[in-house]
Amino acid sequence: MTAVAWHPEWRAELVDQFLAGVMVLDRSLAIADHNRAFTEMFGEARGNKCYKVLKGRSEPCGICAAMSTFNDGRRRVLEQVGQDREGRPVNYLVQVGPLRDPAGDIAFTAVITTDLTATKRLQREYQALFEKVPCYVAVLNRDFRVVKANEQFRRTFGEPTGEHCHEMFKKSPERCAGCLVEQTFRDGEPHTAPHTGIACDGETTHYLAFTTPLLNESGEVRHVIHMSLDVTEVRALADELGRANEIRRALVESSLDAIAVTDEHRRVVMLNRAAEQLWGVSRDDLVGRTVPRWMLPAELAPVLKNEAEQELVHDARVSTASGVQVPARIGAVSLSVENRFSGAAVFAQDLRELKKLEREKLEAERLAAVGQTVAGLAHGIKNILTGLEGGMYVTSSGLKRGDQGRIRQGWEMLERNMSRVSDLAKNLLAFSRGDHPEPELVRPADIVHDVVTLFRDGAAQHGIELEGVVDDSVEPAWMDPEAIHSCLANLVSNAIDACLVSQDPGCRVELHLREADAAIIFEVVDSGCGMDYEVKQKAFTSFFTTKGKGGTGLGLLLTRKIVQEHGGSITLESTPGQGSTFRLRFPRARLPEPQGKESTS
Amino acid sequence: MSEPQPARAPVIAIIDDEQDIITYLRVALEDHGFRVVATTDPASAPALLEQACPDLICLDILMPEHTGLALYAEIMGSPRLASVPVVILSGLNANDELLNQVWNTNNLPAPASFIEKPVDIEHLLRTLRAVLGQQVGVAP
Repeated sequence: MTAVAWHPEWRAELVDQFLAGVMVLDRSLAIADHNRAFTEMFGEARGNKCYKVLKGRSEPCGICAAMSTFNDGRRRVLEQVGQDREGRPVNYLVQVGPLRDPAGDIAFTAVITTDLTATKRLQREYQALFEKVPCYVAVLNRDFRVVKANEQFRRTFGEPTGEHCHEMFKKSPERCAGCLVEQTFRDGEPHTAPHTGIACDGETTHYLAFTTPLLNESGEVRHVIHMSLDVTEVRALADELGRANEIRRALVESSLDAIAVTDEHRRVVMLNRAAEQLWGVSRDDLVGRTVPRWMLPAELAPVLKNEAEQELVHDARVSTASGVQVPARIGAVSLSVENRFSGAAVFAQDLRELKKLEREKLEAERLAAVGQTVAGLAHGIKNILTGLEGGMYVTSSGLKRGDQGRIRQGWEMLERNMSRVSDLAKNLLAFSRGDHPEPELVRPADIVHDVVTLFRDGAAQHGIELEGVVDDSVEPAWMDPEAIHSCLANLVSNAIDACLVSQDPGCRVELHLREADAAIIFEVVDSGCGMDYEVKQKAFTSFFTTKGKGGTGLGLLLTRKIVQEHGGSITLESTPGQGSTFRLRFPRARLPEPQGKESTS
Repeated sequence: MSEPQPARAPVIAIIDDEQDIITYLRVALEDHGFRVVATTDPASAPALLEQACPDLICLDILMPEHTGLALYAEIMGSPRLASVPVVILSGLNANDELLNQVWNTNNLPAPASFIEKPVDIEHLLRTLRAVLGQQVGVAP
């Protein structure tokens, strides 16, 4: 290649290569010439005043750099804000220098404009990022002093005035153990660790700290950026969750109810201590395995398979690992996380102890009833004895006096009271017959209908209306039908008697049957004569009768005995002149168990 | 056999719903020189008592409908009968709490005496004589 000599007239071409805009101004501040980059920035402008082109002004600027250079011949560099050819604001760096003619006078000035708009925008964006980022950001020097801090830092830890970082973050005069800033200064690498600091207001602040080096032109670490994310709320939530979890664990573990949890595949996730005891298994053997078929009653299967929301079996038999049948109340409820089936919780109550206590209580009630019966018996016999003694006395008095009338009178007394002895004996036999009821699965409504049929015609003959008010939806129950029949018959018969002595001509007796709170309730309601305090007090407690020779006083006692043997209770509400209500209440859970259904435990 | 009748035999009123008791006591008391008026119907008792002016009343306190207690309260409230001593006859035990409650809760004076059934005639006669002996001007 042949070397070509440089021609100075090529300078115009050279100036057009510049990325910076170049213009030449004359003393009237008119643009004498400019390069291509200038045209791109401000448009074609030869012959126009510089202030018109760069600033859109009609007058020169108050302080004009070009004019100053015309005056003193010195170079100048300054930042300016003007407008581009489209009228948009533009930041640019201006260098002004004198152009001298051969005589050495300054005929023109050269003005070089470098567009700073993009740089400035970037700077603003970084500044905004630095200030507004929701982290604590601080720039630290080699003395561990905070030289710059962002808005969130200043708000939480205060305005830095040359303090050490540990003074600002921790209000501590000592540098932290394992200081991240120190590590980054040493190895030039980023570091991270959780820290706990103290805010200006004295609140404890938990944060996750990152440090990263800031290098200077020669690659040395002159500053470290310390960024930290406030995790105080997260920490508080985590602590709270931890506490809630601990409470839940303690509750589940110490619960007297057996609790087991399965996942969506029917695998056992959790088993508490009571569950281990009830089923006779160890959680180590069962957790992670599919629930064995023998463990749960069939009724609960749909819940574990996500085919039912929940199920509760009041009177279940639960098998243990060794095959023993345990009476239990057991339920399952399906669990879901964000509306997705995630398994089921099974809870069971071992009823062995409860059933045992219930049997003992029933037995105690039976014994108490027997005790009251014996006390009442002695009392009832007194009346008959008086009658017999009276008969003997009157007969003997008649014999002594030869008074036939008196003899006959005494004899009749003897006969009458002998027959009362006989009635009493029959009733006592009925009372003692069958210590325990013989339950059958019967519809309570059938018994009510039988009793109403038995008495209706007889009552009607005395103008007394007898009606059964029956809820036919009451499910069958285990009861001794004969015993319950005789109870109701006895109460209905009493009610009819109460109507017979009542002054009210339109007397009514109603026999109600309903179920409430898992208890079967019979009520015998009459609008008869009612009872006063004395009679109510004595009604159940002795061989008390208000019927003179018409009753033995055993009926109510026998009724109460049967009710108690069925685990039920009898109550009486009565108002003299308005009638009485006898209520028999049989909780289903206390009804006698059918033969052969007893727990094997 | 009967004891000599005094100038005026004491009149005993018996109110009990059991006819057998009345028959028994009537015969026994008449055999021992008392005069007896009696009824099994408590409702008609007040009229009977007003008319007979008895020296002593034997009253069963547990009777149907019109109870003995109500009758007792009526006797205690009557100006002519309040001073007549009442002996209670009852199948209840004399120490029965219910019985004591009856006087206390109804604010009534306690009866002159109490006889538990079955009635021992000798005991009854002793009691009646003792109660009547306290009454001025009357001696069996």
